[in-house]
Amino acid sequence: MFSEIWHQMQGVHGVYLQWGTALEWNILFTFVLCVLILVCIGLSLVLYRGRQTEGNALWLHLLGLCIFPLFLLPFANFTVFEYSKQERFCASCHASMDPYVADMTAPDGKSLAASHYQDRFAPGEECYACHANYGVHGTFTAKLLGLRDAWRELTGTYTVPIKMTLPFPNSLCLKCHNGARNFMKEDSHTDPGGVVARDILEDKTLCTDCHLPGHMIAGQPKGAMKAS
Amino acid sequence: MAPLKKLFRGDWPARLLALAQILIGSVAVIGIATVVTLNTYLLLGFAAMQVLIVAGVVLFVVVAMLAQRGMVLEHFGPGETVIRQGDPGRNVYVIKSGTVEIVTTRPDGSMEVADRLGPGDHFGDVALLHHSLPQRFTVRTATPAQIFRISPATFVQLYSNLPEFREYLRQRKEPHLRQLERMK
Ligand code: HEC
Ligand code: HEC
Ligand code: HEC
Ligand code: HEC
Repeated sequence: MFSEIWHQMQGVHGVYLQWGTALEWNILFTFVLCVLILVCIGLSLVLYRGRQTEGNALWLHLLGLCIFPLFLLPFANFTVFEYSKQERFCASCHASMDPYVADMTAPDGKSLAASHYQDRFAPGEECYACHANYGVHGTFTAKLLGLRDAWRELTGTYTVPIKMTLPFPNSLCLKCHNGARNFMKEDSHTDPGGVVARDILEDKTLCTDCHLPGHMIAGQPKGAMKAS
Repeated sequence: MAPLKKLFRGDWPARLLALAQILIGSVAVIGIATVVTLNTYLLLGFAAMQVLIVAGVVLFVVVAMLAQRGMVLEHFGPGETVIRQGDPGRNVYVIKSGTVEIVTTRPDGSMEVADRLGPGDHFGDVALLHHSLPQRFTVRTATPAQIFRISPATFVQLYSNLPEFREYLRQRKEPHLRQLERMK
């Protein structure tokens, strides 16, 4: 853990981050709570052998089996949630995700992911910034799909090219671009009156219909730049 | 297998509690492994295991409510301590099966078996009735034993409402106690 945290302090893109982000505190609390729980369980097994349901033992259990675990829940969830936002989390599944990381981080990349990466739009959390509805971060169904993906990575049973289960929704792009000057000044985005076009809001036209594809993976067809 | 069996002995509240310990304990172990290694699969496993915490806490709450029951049958292996000398007296015990040894610690620290009790015998009432005196002896099982543990409230209710019960206790007054008193 400590080497990881040290590594993180060196920062992403060489930017120095100070110790003490929410994630790091949560990792620490998760660790401490897990240790406390194990200590309580261990103590109760030693001190109250065969009398686990007796009055005094129950006080120890109240800590180890109720209070600490209930505290652990939010910390653990936050740790998992925040850590898995990081690009290195997505990148840790080398076989399947590496082409996408490579596409995004290539200095001369032409895909949407690459041009965003060049803008340093979300340092360290690039994949999550666009794919905020994937896996751990998504709905319950998305979480199950994420676990399915993990299983497929582990067993090597996914198919290339990887396909989106659902089309990429415009809302994921609009959460950043809606209202932004560069976006609103473009007539093809707006209906008369200067509001975002209905078709775009309702996902009838997708951003990727006109703009660059999200990713350009070597050996996969959809390479050409579509807009301008 | 043997340690697992040991963990899962006893009446069913005790078993539920052991299950809660296993559920929450395993989440804690995986949690430590997760934050130390930050491994992707551990992380996903840890995330999925959060439901076990909820299950464990629910089990604990059920057990804690059941433990308030007046009488519980406890199961002991041989050589296990039922009450320890010096502990505050809380419960009264009635032996269902098996044999227990009454052990006293002499001033020099050595242990002595003062008496043996069998099915139908009881112990713990003296310490309880004397305003929770500390236990004056250790009770340890000699064989596997099943022992009813009666809560203070239940015992005091029987004791104060049933003169016959009181009389019975006086007659059967823990025989080893008289012996202990003689030794003083
Ligand atoms: C445990 C390994 C693993 C991790 C970690 C991982 N992925 Fe994936 N991902 C896969 C696999 C395998 C597939 C292909 C599944 C299939 O289609 O068979 C996939 C598919 C996808 C898809 C398309 C599938 C769909 O259902 O829409 C997206 C988008 C995606 N990953 C994004 C991400 C992002 C963003 C991250 C980081 C937050 C990430 N992945 C982390 C293994 C992983
Ligand atoms: C600019 C936002 C953006 C970023 C950053 C981004 N993606 Fe994507 N990604 C998209 C879009 C848009 C699509 C849908 C492409 C389509 O439908 O043709 C997509 C699709 C995917 C797919 C499904 C396969 C496909 O090509 O349709 C995977 C897998 C994926 N992304 C993984 C990643 C990973 C891993 C990262 C981080 C290294 C990442 N993405 C970063 C926008 C992004
Ligand atoms: C986390 C916020 C964020 C998300 C999500 C996001 N963008 Fe961007 N995008 C930016 C920023 C910041 C810029 C750079 C400033 C600008 O041009 O407005 C940018 C630039 C762009 C540009 C022009 C710049 C270029 O180099 O090509 C396009 C086109 C674009 N985004 C499309 C999209 C699409 C399509 C999506 C959804 C797949 C998306 N963006 C998702 C933040 C975001
Ligand atoms: C009907 C086609 C079309 C659709 C759909 C579309 N765009 Fe555009 N967009 C354009 C055109 C044309 C331009 C101007 C070309 C340029 O300046 O490179 C543009 C420009 C932009 C720019 C400014 C680029 C810059 O260089 O400053 C952003 C940001 C952008 N689009 C984001 C989006 C997002 C996000 C979506 C989806 C919500 C989207 N666009 C949907 C056609 C489209």
